[in-house]
Amino acid sequence: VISINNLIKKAQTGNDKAFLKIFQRFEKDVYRMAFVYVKNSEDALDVVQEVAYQSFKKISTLRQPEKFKSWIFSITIHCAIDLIRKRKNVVNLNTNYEDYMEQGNNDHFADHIPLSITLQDLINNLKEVEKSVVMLKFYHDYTLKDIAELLDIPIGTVKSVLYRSLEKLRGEYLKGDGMNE
Amino acid sequence: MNNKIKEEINKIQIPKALHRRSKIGILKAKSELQGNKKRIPKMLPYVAMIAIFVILIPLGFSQLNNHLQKDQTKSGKVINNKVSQSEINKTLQTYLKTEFTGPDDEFKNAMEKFNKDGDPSLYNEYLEKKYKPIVTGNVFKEIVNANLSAYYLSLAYTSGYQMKPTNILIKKAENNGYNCEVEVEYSKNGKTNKVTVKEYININDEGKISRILVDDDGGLVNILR
Repeated sequence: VISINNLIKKAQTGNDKAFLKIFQRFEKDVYRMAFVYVKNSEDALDVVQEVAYQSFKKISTLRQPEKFKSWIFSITIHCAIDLIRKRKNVVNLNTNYEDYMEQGNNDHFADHIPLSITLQDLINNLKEVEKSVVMLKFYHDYTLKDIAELLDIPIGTVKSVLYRSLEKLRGEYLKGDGMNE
Repeated sequence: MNNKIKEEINKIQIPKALHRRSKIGILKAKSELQGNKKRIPKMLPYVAMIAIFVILIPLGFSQLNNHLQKDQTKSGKVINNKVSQSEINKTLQTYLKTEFTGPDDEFKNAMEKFNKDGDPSLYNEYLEKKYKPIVTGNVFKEIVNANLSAYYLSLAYTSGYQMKPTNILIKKAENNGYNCEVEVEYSKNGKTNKVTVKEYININDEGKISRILVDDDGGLVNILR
């Protein structure tokens, strides 16, 4: 079994087959992440193609192969948001984080995930930045510190975004039939 | 532990075309990379790598991280009307002019010194002088990583073109974004042509460029190769 680091080294010399092998491991995650932002399959596939294109073009600049996964997800988030802007399908492109500064200090976020949340809640009720943080935390199991690093924002802001997102999702649920936890 | 979010996201069906689309993206990048290799001198890809070390070692990686973190914190705060519109326009004009003017003697000397002697100091000085005052720490980091600016200049230097912006249009978009259109005149061996490059640029609350997206370069990359 060839390690991912060796594949990355090969890819960095321009070996597209090696890069395809690595990318294949993450393409489903990239697609699903993209889908949550762009809300349809065709656009999500466009994002996957763009992420594959951009990541292979820039692979030679990746200095820490162990961060490949985070790097790919970071590119995915940027590509998905770019595509939304280009499609003029703007929901909320505010990627500033000032609304979230110094709010929410609860580290036990998992306890606050509503049981009845649906994919539609995630797709329709959260802003782009909230989707990024929620997906990285609960879909990819990143730590708050890793999310802060990946999105290049302070850890306090990550907590605030997460807290606000879960409040929103729980709020939608409460409008339905009650709180679960 | 309940993780309903993971369950829900996993419900998104994977289309059959997925892997094919990954391949298309990679093959497109491959063909462009091969095009680059033919023209750009062997030393050029190493410019950025050495530049990183020259800049990072004196600063210290952790110090740089702290610095970048501070940049973000500052930009996250609401600093209303701290920067006037004319200052923002000036920053955008400066960036676009830097990007599409030349290469001048300073840039050529920097590249020559690096290519001949392997000394990146002039090149680093050039990047710091031209870009650092007008972009955030993150964007500068990308520039140093050679993903972003000075790319057109490097290509023009290699292929012997000269560029000149003949018209710059800046239009405010939503939030802190600006749609910029630059008419770029490029010339070589007495022949001159023009393309229009469209970029979408974000400015943070401190008036620095926080993000650059090339929407459409009018084929300039391919021309300069």
